[in-house]
Amino acid sequence: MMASQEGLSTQAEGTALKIRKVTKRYGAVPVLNGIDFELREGEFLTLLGPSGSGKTTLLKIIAGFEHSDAGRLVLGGEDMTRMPPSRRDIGMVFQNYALFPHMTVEENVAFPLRMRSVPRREIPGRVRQFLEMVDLGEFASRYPAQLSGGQQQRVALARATVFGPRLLLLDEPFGALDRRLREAMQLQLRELQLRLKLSTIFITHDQEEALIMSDRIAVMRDGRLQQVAKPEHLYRRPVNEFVANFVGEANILSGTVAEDGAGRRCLRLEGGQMFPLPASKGTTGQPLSVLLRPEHPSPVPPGDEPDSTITGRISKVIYLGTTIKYLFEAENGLELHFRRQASHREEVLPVNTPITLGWSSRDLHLLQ
Amino acid sequence: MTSTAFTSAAAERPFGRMMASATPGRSLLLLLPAFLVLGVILFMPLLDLAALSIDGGSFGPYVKALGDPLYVRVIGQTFQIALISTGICLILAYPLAYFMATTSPRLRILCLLLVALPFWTSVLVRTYAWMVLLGRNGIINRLLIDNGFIAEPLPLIYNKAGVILGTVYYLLPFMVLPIFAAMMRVDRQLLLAAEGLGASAVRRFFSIFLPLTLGGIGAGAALVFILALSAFITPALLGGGRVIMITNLIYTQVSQVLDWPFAAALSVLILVATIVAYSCIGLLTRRRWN
Repeated sequence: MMASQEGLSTQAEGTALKIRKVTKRYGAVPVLNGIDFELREGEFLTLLGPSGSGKTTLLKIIAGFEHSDAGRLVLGGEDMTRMPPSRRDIGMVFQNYALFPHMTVEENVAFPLRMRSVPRREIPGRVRQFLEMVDLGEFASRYPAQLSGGQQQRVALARATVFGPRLLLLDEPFGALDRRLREAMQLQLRELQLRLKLSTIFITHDQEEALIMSDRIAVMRDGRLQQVAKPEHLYRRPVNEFVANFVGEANILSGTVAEDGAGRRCLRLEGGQMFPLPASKGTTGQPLSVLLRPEHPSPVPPGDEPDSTITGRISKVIYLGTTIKYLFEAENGLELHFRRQASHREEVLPVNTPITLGWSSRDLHLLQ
Repeated sequence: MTSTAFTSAAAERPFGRMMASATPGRSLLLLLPAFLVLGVILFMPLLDLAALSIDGGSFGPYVKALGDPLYVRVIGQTFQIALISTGICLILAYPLAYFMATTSPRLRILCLLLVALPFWTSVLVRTYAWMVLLGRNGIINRLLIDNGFIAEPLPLIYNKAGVILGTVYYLLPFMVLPIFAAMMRVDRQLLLAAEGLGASAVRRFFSIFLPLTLGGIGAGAALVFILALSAFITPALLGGGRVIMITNLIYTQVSQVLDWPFAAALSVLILVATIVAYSCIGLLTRRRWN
């Protein structure tokens, strides 16, 4: 369960935030266990994990609303482990937005500027500029209660960015929005973040949202960092079964390392099947799990001979429009799911169709 | 077959829908009992009172109340005592309510109990207790004299300060409870958000917490001010006949002088003052935002 941190060697862009061995417990319960990673300047990093994984606690510690028991936070070269939140210059968007109900939209966005003693003459212009950036120019004099959820969300975003924060934190900000609005907001947030070159930490438990938005994703589980990597890297080369299952759909094949008649390294399943492995790693007899994404196995056309095959039947069909999900059951009971791009040239296979699935050993990814 | 018919009929007319389908005219019927009771025991006597105060079509009683320096002084003193008591209650109640709203649930319940405790004994008893404590030969004066701190007893009651003390004591819970309720409704996340946006503790209080609890202050202030204006027992006992408020004046007019129209005029004046005070406080602390 070691956290792996690919790509951290390229530090030419500079580091916005360093999190060093941050640990936190509530009573006897550890919630964060040696969290250690870096956020680059202008980077959009997502903390992804199920509820209870500690991501919100970590965000609160970065914002300063909670203190870590051990570890350090360095923001732009300055140690801020014990700095009060009001001096950190961090913009935060709360899950329920936390807009001040007794202030108009304009007053809400002006609040951080007033707290920073920005000259009075400069405030209205700057507020207007940011309200227009989130398309709320004409709502300036309304109260939050008179706005829709999506509009409140944008006010919160304008308020968290108007003062040029050193860091932007977002705590599941789209959780309460419906799907279409959520997608529009995702794009708008990303656009704003790129335009303002904001170093951003975004929290979500939605893996799809994480894949859409992020430069890098940090997967958390039970207070530990599992992996920090680019979205495509995380999807193709997850470090363990948890990450493989949490990001995307996964077939996990577990067995032991064996050698076949031709001397190739193979994975031997409990049922006795042997599948060749991509690299000749591991010693014979060692337990091993491999990942096979559902887009890789496919019905073997006549004349083709992939290096791995298995025969069985279709046990379930889920039609999703652009793709079709099939559940496959092998003769000896092994279950796999696979996905086909929907096409007018290809019929949807009915349940119980006997088929042979095949894939290349290069499609397998070894898990720890 | 019958059972299906029964269940489907029942499903078509659930209780809530039956209530909702009642016409507005019919639901107004529900107000009738309360309206009758209030009409008979409150509004009719009030109208009667108003009529009595201008008995014979003359505004004489009002001219007397607002023209005679003696009575003007009583009215002025009444407002002064009510206003000062309200102010002191507010100063005492706000920090107490804040403590209650932010402390552990256990301590909060204990505090609520202590705040509400005086409600369980009569005002009369509690006011006599103050007399025992503060009187010329009361416990405090005795202690001070016996220990040689003072030679003559201090005038602790039978003056304005005594009346104010008693009023504050009597009305403090009416200020604490609405403010406490308003504080409990403040979303703590707003204070965190303000802190994250750069607000110091002082600014968080004045920009966020105070405005959001203004409604509670308004409700408490209105209650205390109105009850203080019409307090009777406290000034009667702790004023000792030297501090006279409107209610005491009305009582004298009714029971001794027998000038009923004048008493009625004074009552109408209190009523008007109450309505004016209530509206002013309401306007000052109105929530504009929703």
